[in-house]
Amino acid sequence: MKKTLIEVKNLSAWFKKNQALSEVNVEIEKNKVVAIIGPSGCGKSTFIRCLNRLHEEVEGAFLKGEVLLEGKNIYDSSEDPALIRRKIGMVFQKPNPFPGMSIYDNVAIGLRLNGMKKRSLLDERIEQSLRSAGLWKEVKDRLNYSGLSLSGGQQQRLCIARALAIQPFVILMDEPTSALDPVSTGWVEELLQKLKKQVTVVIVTHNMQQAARVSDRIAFFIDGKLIEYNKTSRFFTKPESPKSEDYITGRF
Amino acid sequence: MSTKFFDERLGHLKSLIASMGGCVEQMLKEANMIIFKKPSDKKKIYQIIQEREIEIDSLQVKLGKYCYRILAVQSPVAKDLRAILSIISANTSLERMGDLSFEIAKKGRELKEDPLLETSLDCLEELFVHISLMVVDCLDAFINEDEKLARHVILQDQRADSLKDKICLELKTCILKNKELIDTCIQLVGVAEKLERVGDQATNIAEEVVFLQTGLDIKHQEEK
Repeated sequence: MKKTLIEVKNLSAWFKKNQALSEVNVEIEKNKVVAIIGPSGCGKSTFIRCLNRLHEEVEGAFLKGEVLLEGKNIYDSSEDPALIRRKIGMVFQKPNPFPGMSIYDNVAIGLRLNGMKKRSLLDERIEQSLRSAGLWKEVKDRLNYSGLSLSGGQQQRLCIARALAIQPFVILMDEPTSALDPVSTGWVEELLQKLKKQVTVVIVTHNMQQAARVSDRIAFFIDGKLIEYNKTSRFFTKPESPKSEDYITGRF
Repeated sequence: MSTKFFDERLGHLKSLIASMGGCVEQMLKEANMIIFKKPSDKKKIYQIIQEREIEIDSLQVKLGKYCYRILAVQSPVAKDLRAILSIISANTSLERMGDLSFEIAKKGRELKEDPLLETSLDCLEELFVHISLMVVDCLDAFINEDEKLARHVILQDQRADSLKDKICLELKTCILKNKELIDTCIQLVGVAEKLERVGDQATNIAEEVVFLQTGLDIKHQEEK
């Protein structure tokens, strides 16, 4: 049965006077991968940053509308943005392991900030997170090495393990493979298919083929407006909107 | 993906489909001549048909390779993907149409002249004209992406089926009346059946046009 995890209602967002999103309505199902696509400047990144309250961190940025996580508006005055971001984690375009921290500490930091002190519990959760991120076998014998000693692809999987460690409901990914080579990209894409068993993933990508390969649904934006939200198989074979058709066939 | 590059390739693929279709059209005309006009140079016409069949086969291989390459290199989506898929399907249909036309000519070459068969031959000629028109229309619909014409071709398939049934019934009656005609009648039943199958392939191509334009697969709908 379809289970909605996130419901976006009439979401509009601005950077000072510039409107970046207008009246977006989307329902995101649990344990699905949703790819956000569209031309540069269409509001893709703004949209996912609205999903974990990162948008409001930019000076002059504000929004209207609601983002319901399991039926509760994350923008309610009673909600703590830091807690929201624990439930809805994020992986960025460029791998960003914390410098000066070991592989172990990179994954442990979120858990420690959440009050987990016991070493055996930490060890267990770190192994679990690194396994889920498909990195455990490669790093289990060098957990005390610097996170920066890893390759680009491994660093990105380390960031995914860091996001997974605090057991979020959702992981937002903003072009997570654009800085990676095809082999590392393949690793991350394969990982997404495994990850969706435990979390819901919303991924921004410029790579059409990647969106087709990894996602269950596509949200296509132009000029801050949601043009089409459709099943991936349908979107890439017979999209509803002529604008979608033009965009994916390169005739935009 | 470069749109210009893709559109150029698509245009080239369509021109190959048009060449294959042109061969089939000619083969049907020539087979018709062999059966109904009884020309003196029957052998030569048959040879031309044989050469066209070989040409269709080589075009099929060429077209298949191009489609395979485009799928691998361009990864087309949406209408572009449907265009390639429909070309692959039309390619197979046209190759079969070529085979069937050749078999029709082969049967025509072996036919004995017999005035007693005149009624059945009239009906068979009508089927020939009907199928040839379906072939021309399905190719026009395919090349021009004309959904309306494609749907018209699909509707014509019923008429082809009923004409074939009528011919078979007449030939059966003919056999019952005159057992000496049994071999000729069997040959003509074969011609009618193969013609009807050419019509089925033309219908397949027309269905691909509907798929290309709408994304709907309308094959075998009446069977559901």
